[in-house]
This record gives sequence, structure tokens and C-alpha cells, in this order.
Amino acid sequence: MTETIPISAVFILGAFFLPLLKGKARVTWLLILPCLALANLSLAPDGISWQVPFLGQKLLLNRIDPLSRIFGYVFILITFIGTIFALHIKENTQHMAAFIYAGAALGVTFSGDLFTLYIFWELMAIASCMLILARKTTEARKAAFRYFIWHFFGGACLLAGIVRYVSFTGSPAFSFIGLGDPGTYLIFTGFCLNAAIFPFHAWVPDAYPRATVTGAVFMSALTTKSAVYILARTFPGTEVLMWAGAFMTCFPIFYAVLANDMRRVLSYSLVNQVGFMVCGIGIGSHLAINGVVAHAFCHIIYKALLFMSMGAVLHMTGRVRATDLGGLYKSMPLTAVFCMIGAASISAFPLFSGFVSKSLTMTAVAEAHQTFIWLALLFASAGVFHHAGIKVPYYVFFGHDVGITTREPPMNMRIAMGLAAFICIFLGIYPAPLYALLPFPVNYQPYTFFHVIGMLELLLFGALAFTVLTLSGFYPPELRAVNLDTDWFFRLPGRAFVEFCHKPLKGFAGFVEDKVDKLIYVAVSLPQQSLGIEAWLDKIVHHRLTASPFNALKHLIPLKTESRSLSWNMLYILVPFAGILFFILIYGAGR
Amino acid sequence: MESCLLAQTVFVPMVAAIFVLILKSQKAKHAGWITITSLVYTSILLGWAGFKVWDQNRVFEAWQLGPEMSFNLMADGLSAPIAMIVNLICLALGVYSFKYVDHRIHLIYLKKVPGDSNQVTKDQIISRYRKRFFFLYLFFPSGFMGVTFCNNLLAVYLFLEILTIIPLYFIMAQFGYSDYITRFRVALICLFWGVAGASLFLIAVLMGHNITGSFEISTFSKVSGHAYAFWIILLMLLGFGTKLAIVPLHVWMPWVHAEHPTCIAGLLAVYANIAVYLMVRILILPLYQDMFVFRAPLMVLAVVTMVYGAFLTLAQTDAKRFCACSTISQISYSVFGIMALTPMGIKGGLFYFLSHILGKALLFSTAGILVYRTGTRDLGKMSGLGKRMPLTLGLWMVSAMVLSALPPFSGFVGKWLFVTGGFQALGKDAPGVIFMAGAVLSTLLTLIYTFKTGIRIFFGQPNSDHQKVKDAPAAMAVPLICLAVLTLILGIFPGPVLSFFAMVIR
Repeated sequence: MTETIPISAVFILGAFFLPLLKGKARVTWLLILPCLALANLSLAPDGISWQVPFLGQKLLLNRIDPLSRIFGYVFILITFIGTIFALHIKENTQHMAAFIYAGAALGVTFSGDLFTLYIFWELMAIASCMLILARKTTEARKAAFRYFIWHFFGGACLLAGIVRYVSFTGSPAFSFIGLGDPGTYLIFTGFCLNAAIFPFHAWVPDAYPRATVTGAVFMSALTTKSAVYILARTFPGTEVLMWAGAFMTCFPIFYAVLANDMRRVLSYSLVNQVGFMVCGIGIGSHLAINGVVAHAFCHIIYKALLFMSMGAVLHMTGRVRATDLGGLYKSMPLTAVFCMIGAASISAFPLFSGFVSKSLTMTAVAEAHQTFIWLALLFASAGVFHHAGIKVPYYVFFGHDVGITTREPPMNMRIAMGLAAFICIFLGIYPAPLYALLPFPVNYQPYTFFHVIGMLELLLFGALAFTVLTLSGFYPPELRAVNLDTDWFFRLPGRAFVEFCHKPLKGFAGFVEDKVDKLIYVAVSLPQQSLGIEAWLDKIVHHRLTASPFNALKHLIPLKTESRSLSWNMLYILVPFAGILFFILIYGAGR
Repeated sequence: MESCLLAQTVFVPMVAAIFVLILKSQKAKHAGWITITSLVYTSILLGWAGFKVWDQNRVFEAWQLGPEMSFNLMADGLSAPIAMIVNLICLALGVYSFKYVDHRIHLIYLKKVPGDSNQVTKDQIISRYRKRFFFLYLFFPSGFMGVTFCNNLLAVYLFLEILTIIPLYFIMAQFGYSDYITRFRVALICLFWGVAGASLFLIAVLMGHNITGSFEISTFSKVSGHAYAFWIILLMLLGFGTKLAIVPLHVWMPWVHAEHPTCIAGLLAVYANIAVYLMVRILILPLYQDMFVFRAPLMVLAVVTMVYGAFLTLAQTDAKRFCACSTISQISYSVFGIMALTPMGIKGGLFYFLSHILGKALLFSTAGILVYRTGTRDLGKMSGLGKRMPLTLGLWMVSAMVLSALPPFSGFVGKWLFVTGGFQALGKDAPGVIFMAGAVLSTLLTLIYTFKTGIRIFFGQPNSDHQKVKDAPAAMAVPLICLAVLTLILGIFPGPVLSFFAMVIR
């Protein structure tokens, strides 16, 4: 549908009208923009539109097919919820950044070629960086810088890979790529970085806890999931991804259990959940891709719900550490309920959205006969329940009471959380609409006896383990600690690099600067030196040279040439005579 | 009348000079008007000649004086526009001289005379020297026209010597700056260098005569390919080099230009720079193939001169010496252009010559106004004059823009052309391109010295000595404004002049 503007442009262009509006008009505009995008997307037929010629390439801005459509829906939905959650914020910067960020994520989703993808990819990184910076603390500034470095690195890999890939295959088509050429490995690295695949995951728990309360909601939804979409399109069935995903599901559990900052716990849990999706992409069967997409859909909603509930706590109390919180259910009962709905969803309780999507992936793994992977995912499911399902609500809303008395968050936050919680439960009870949107036909019934009992058993034993571990004192207590993650290995050389810049490099720069200074001094003094040369030339030409006849005369006058000094005159005659004689003798004899 | 059109342009100023000389001393104030009238007349004749050249491609007048000596005059696409513009500059500076000469006479001759001097009165002195000045001044246009139009090498030599001896030497000696001794010394320097340059030229001409058997320029191309051609060209280039002040031969320029009275200093730039025209006329057009040996060394010398002259200018603290040193640098732009030996480069070099003499006449005369009004030549003592002298500020900035080749003034067209020509000649290999890039960059120095000095003079804290300085008098400003308009016209409509050049240089 070429009549409407591209879906990404709705947000990106719409964002620039924000500063012009005030009061109610602004609020209306904020709410109406996602609705416009939603209408635009639901009316648009499948196919490619908006081919923009640029530098000899054709940029395809609007490629809609079932896979991109469902991601588009969920991105618009979460933008809507996130905007409601952030409605109380007065400064336009955050709203604009969030809209541009969402628009860029949609642009990535609907891009039809790799160059468009790259442009929106970088826009996404920049816009999301603004959301971290908007927190305006020193810590956030540093984290934003690190975040930017990570994504800059990823973007550089991606660009290099795209250039190599396009020159190698001759087509910038954004479709199945598959590992092979070195260029594809570079592209793969770029995508993996955004999908937070080990060892490139460290930016997630680094940056997300430091983003603003509202910004974290968008960030948790957009960056990693758009990368999941891209991987599902370009690298389905890559075996590396299966193993990487399985590993991703397991290792963050331990970090999450140890972490103290609740949003950091959620960040690790996000890495863990993305692991399920990456694993599904690695398997690559239709069922698995369906599972990935469904899981991404549900995950975006409940992860946002969890981030919103923690954000609400942070917004109201100013604290988000497990050690500082506890017993909030008395003053924030509604938030506690929403948080628990989110926790139940992420732990895949039956009748919650996580259940209907995660079991799809698990079945796909089982059908692919990957026993080891299946066991790893099973372990991870139990682990999710530990840290996200129990730890987050328990330590914040129950546990030891730290005696904070506060109120429920503002109305808009409650509405946003309620909306997300409603979607979680709705999809858990009635998954048909979700299944209908999936890219491949679905013939799957989540609520079988085996699935429900299996999951409940798992959860019960998980709860039992948590209780036993906590009571016996083996469960790590609430501690303020700094956990060592892979980013330590990046930060160390980084620090060394900074050190190198400071000392030898700066010394060298100083040396060069010194020399340049001297050079400039010489250049500036050149006019004065030319004056010296001129004076010297003047002296030679106008004094010495013109005076030379007089000087010669001065030397001649003392020679005694008068007739009375006869002996001198004889001498003058004799000496040349002797010279000539000598000359003749030598050369004449030689003949 | 029509048959001796060009001869009139040469001899009418001389006749007018004699009229000026025999004027009664009571009527000496008419000396200037006689000068102006004769120059206006010759300017009209030149315009007429220009139309004829446009129509018939050339105007030729034969004046055979003897078997080998002739006084044949020829105006073609090359000489007509140059003669026209040189004559207009002479006219403008003639008007400018009215006031300036009186100022010089007051400074030099009236101070020595005690108030109640017995025999000679003030008026007598003024009228005597004013007559003398305009008598000498009229030999400038006459000499320039002779050099431009003469088709006989001996006649060219003759006019070069006339230019050196009559106006330059005597005006310097009588109306120059500094004390009596220095004046005569500088006049001698001027004479020696001028005669030396012309003599080298004469030797080359005589050597050429041995080969061709004639002194006509039209037969000079017979020298081409001869065994002595190299030496003849070398001697001529040495002769012209002294006029053009190419680096080792530039020593006279700062002295002579700085100490001359300002009203003729602009004509001195023409005197030096007209050798570029002679180089094109006598060397490059007839002996094109033989000139290629000299291309590289002369271009390098030209760039060295540009840079050295610019440095020298930057270091000056004397307003008049500043302009003088700038001439050293500027003339080499033209040399650089014509020595590229491409049609575009030669046209560019000649056009830049026209632009430079216009710009330099403006700059020198503006400096003259400054000296006339403030009474000092020290640039360091002038500051913040812009408020009191807005017209002078405008004139300085126009001349700065002409000399630094900024659009819309004529310098830009000339520079554009000769740089393009240079690239055509040298742009084929890496060293050539690097050299050209260096040459183009070195022209930035002009921008630095003109504008830096202009800002130092006109802006900043006003000097307490110059609280009551007045702006330029109308008699000085009007001719300069006319020149500024002329360079503006040349910069916006360079087409006619370039198509005149294109008649000869193809």
C-alpha cells in the first residue's frame, strides 16, 4: 500500500511534532501515534512497497510478510503500553527518543534490504542510548558510553559484513543468509551482539538497570527482540545458535540469583529468555520458528510488565536493590499483583502467557530429538522460576519488611501494568489469536494433560528447592556485591587502552605538538628572516658591488707606480715577464 | 588623422609635455589640465583603435626611418587592451597627482625656504616644480604606448630607456621621499638597474640581428631553432627578469618603489610588469618551441618569488615598502601564468597583469592617501582609522580583494585562468600536481598580508595622534573609485578582453 507512509516513519516523523504540542494535545498525540501505526499496519497488505533509490541502491522501506507483521504488531503494542507508562513524564526528549527508537525497531522489522536494515540498526542504537542518558546520573552516563561502544562495535561488524556480502553475492536482499562467506560471519557477529548471545551479552545487565524507569521498558522489548526477528529470518537452522541459546538459558540463572539490583535480575532473566528463542532459531523447524515468534511476543509483554512493576517501585521508593526492599505488598498491593502475574507468566504457569509459548519451543526441541538441549532448557525453566518467578516478587513485596510506607504508582503506570497483565492472562487462557498470527500454520494444543502436569511438577519442585535452599541457608542471601561477568574481559583491555591513551599516546601527542609548535614558530618568523636576507642582499648588491671600483682603486693607489720609484716599476714588469716565460717554457717544451 | 592613430597616442603626450614646459609660471596650475586633456584625447584614440582592431584584427602603421631602423606601430588583440588599460591608469593617476604633487612640493621645497625669502616666492617655487612634474609625468604614457605598440626591437629598447631615464630617474630625484642624499641614491639605483636590464635586452637584440638581419619583431621567429637561440633567450630573460624583479634580481624593487612619490608608484608597477607583455610578444609567440627549456626553472623561480615576496611583505612596517614588496610577489603570478606555455596560461598571465596593475595602482594610491592624511609611513602607528576614513577603508579592501584574487574583481578571473593553464601544463604527473598545489596555496599569503594589514590599519583602538584625521580628498578618491569600478567591470565581464587576447593567442 504505497498510499500510506511507511510504518516506521509514523513514529520517527511523529516524534518531531512532539515539541510543538502542549498539555492535552500532547497526551493525545502520544496515545494516538501508536494507534495510527497499528491501523496503518493492519490495513497494509503483504508485499513490498516504498522503494527509495539511494546512491545507486534501492532501499526497501516497507516489506510486510507474516513474520514481520507479528513482530510489528507486538512492537507497536509495547510502544503503546510503554507510552502510557511514561505518560507522566514532562520532558519531550525521552518521549521523542522512545518513539524514534520504536520507529527504528519497526524500520528494522520491515526493511527489505540490508542497507535499510543497517541505517535503522544504527538509529536504534543511538535512540536507545538517549534513553540511558536521560537518567542523568554519572553511572548512567558511563553505562551509556559503554552501551554505545558495544553497539558501535556491532554496527561496524554488520556494515563490514554487509559490504562484503553484497559485493560477494551481488544482492542486498534481506532474507536467508546462512553462515559461509567471511562476510556472513561478520553479519552474524553484529546480529549476535544485539541478541545478547554469549559472550556479547554483557551490555544487557550493564545498561538496562541504569536506564530510566520508563526507558527500560522500551529497551527490554525492542533491541534484543528485533535481533531475534533478524536471526529468525537470516540464520534459521544454524546449529551454533542452538548450542549458544541453550548455554544462554542456563548461565544467567546463577548471575540472576546472585544479583542484588532487581532490574539487573530481570536483565539476566531477559538474556535467559532470549536464549530460548535463539535455541529455537537454531533448530529452525517450522514448529520451532513458531515457538520463537510466539515466545518473543509473550516475552515482550511480560518482561515489560516486570520491568514496569520494578520501575514503579523505583519510581515510588527510589530504591531497587533487594537489600533495600521488602514488605511492599502492604502499601503497593496492586503493583504486587501485577508483578506476580508477570512472574507467573515468565515462569510459564499454566493459564499464563509464558506457558502457551514456551511449551511450543520445548516441543520443537523434543521433536528434533536434542535430548541434551531439552534437559538444559528444562533446567533453565526451573531456574527462571527461581530468580524471576520467586525472587523478584518475594524480595520486593514480601520477605523482611524494611518498613517503607509509600503509595501506589500514578494512574497511568497502573493502567499500563494492568493492560500488560490483562494481555498475559488473556493469551494464557485463549492463545488462538496469537497462534493465528504466527508465520506458519499451527496445529498445537498447549493444554494437554502431559504439558500441564509436567510444567506444574517442574514448578512445584522448583518452589520446593527454593524453600529448602532458603531455609537451609544455601540460597545466597541478599548481598550487595559486584558480580564478575564477561564484560570484565572487555573492560580490562578497555581500561588498559585508556591507560595507553593517557600515558604513551598522550606523551607522543605532546611530543608532536611540541614539534608542530616549533614549526609554526619558524613559519611565523619567516617574514622576519626574509627581511634579514633582503638586508644582506642589499648590502652585497648596493654597497659592496657598487663600491668595488673604489675599493680596487684604494688598493691600487698605495702601489708605487710613480716614475720616481723605478725599482718598483721594474719589479711589476719583471714578475709578469717571468711568469710568461715560465708558461712558455713549460707548454712550449711540452710540444 | 586616421592613418597616424597609434603614432598620435605615442607623440601627443610628448607634445603636451613640451607645452607644459613652456607654460608661463603664472599659468602653471594649467599644467595638470593639459596633461589630463592630452590623456583623455589619447584614450579616445585608443578606444577608436580598439574598435578598428576588433573589426580588422590589427592596425598597422609603417614609419620607416632608415634601412633597418623603423618606427612601425602595430595594434592587435594583445596590445590594444593592454595599452587601453595602461593609458586609463595613467589618466587616473594623473588626476590623483594634482593634490599629491603639491603636497610633495610643500614637504620638500617649501620647508627649506625661510618665510621672508627674498627672490623666489612660494608660488614661483610651486609652479616651477609642478611644471616639472607634469612635464616628466607625460613621458610615462608616451613610453608605455611606445613599448606596447612598437614593432621594432630597437624602438622598444629606446622606449624602455626613455621610461627609465626621463620620468623614473628625474621624478625620483626631485620628488621622491627621504632626504636629498637618499633620493639621489635611490634614483641612481633605479637608473642602474633599468639601464642594466635594457642593455642585456639590447645585446640579445643585436645577437638576434646577426641571425635574422632585421630588427622587426615579425622576423624574430627566424631565430627559432638556431644554435644561439638559447643564449639570446637567456639574455632577454635576464633583462626582463631585472624589470620583473624575479628573485635574485629583485633587490632594486623595494627601494625604488618605496621611495618614489606615491602618485607614480602605481605606474612603476606597470613599468615593471609590462615586461610580461614583452615576454609574450618577443619570446613566447615567435619562439614558442625554444621556450620549453626555460619553463621549469622559470616557474620554480616564479613560485619562489611569490613566496619570498609575500614573506617580505608580511615583515614590512612601512606603508609604502609594504606595497613595493607586494609587487615583487604579484608580478610573479603573471610570470608563472605565461611560463605555463599553454594558451590558457598565457591569457591568464596577461589578464592577471592587467588586474595587478589596476589593483596595485589602487593599493599604492590608497597607501598614499594614508600617508598624506596621517603624515607617517609607519604601519604600526596607524590603527583604528576605519571610523574616520571609511572611503579609504573601502578602497583598501577593494584593492586587497583584487590582489588576493577574490571574486567579483578582475584578479579572480586572471588567477582562475593561469591556474587552469598551469594545471594543463603540469597536471599530468604527480610532482607537477604537487608543485601546482603548492603554488596555488602560496597565493593564500596575499590574502593574509593584505587583509591582516588592512585590519591593523583600519580597525582596533584609534591612535591618539590621529584623532582629527580627515577622509580622502575628492580629487584623490574619485580617480581611484573609477579604477575600482574598472576592475569590477573586468571581473564581471572579462569576455571582451579575453576575446581580444584570443585573436593572437590561439
